[in-house]
Amino acid sequence: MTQDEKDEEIGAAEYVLGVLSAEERATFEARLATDPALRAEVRDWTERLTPLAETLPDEPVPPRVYRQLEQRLFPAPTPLLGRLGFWRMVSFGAVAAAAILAVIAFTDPAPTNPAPTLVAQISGEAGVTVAALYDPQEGALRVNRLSGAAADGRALELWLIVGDAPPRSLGLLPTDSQGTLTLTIVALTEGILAISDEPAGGSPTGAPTGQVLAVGALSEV
Amino acid sequence: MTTPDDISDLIARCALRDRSAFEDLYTATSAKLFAVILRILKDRGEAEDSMQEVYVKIWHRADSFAASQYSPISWLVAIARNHAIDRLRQRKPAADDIDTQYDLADSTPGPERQSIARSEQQRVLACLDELDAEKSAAVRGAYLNGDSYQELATRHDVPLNTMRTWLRRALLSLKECMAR
Repeated sequence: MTQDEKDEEIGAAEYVLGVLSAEERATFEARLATDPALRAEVRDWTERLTPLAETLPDEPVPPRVYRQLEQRLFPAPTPLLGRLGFWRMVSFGAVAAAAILAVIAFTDPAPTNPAPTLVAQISGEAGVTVAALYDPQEGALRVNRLSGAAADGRALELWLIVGDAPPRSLGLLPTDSQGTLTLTIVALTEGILAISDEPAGGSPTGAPTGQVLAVGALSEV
Repeated sequence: MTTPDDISDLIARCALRDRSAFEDLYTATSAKLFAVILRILKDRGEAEDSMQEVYVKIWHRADSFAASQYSPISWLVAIARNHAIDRLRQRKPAADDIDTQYDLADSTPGPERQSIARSEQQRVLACLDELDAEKSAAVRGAYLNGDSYQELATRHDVPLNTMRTWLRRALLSLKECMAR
């Protein structure tokens, strides 16, 4: 090991131990951001010393801490309550829905979360029509199948298409007319939703294999 | 009991914005992280605020955990310690009533230490015991209390550079011992 490497290593150890001053820590962290070898040293020292932290007896946390944390990370979705009306009435048809959307857009208070709520009307000539609402705070897509159904022994699969990327499965539509799909997508901000006819259990290939029955674009409420 | 694999899984699910996983992660780990933070900050109100900040960071950085190659406990403890130490360093002037509240008799094994079975843990503790008592206490004090070089030098009544040399040697011996 060269002297430089030794210095690097000891710098990492001092950083992890926590003996550096605020200025020294800031300087070290700036180097850390651009130096993978240094990050590996820090990781090794962190792993070496973590057992010391584990010797501390557990310290119960007052429940208020989690309550406040929850409010901070997941603010109560009050604006969405107003959309329940939208949800019930969307089945009266696209024209009524459009009118209600306009009202909601007008009366909604300023959003508490910068990620927009998205809606889509997914429809096609096959007679399948589904309304979808994406709630960014829940990371979930609520679906309401207004007409059409899967053929016997078949399933309806929902796909997301963003830009030129291949369709990504969001899961099977629930057999009930209404349901919620939890999405494994960090933030859905745009895209086209499509529904395809698939074998029971869904597409075996990960891409749509059957007829595309309905399509609709997501748009901000 | 929550295993390290369970914790890894919960962090991975937090990256997918799974709130119930976040709550489970908090339930499984908050008492440990609070102990770490409180020991450094020695102020309950400030430690509670820090807990919120730390778990906000955990939620937002969960997607970087897998690539970091850290063990889950080390990753969580590192976020908590780094936050607490940064906060401690920003205080002015540095609190010097530490010894009155928590003496540094960490070189004596406490009951909590005996209950710990992980061989890794026993190794670092055994290696610390191989150092002479004063150096071992300095390493523990620095790690657990977030002492700076300056504070350690004052406490042990040695010049700053002596403390630096001392602690660096102690760290290298520790590493050598753990690699054996």
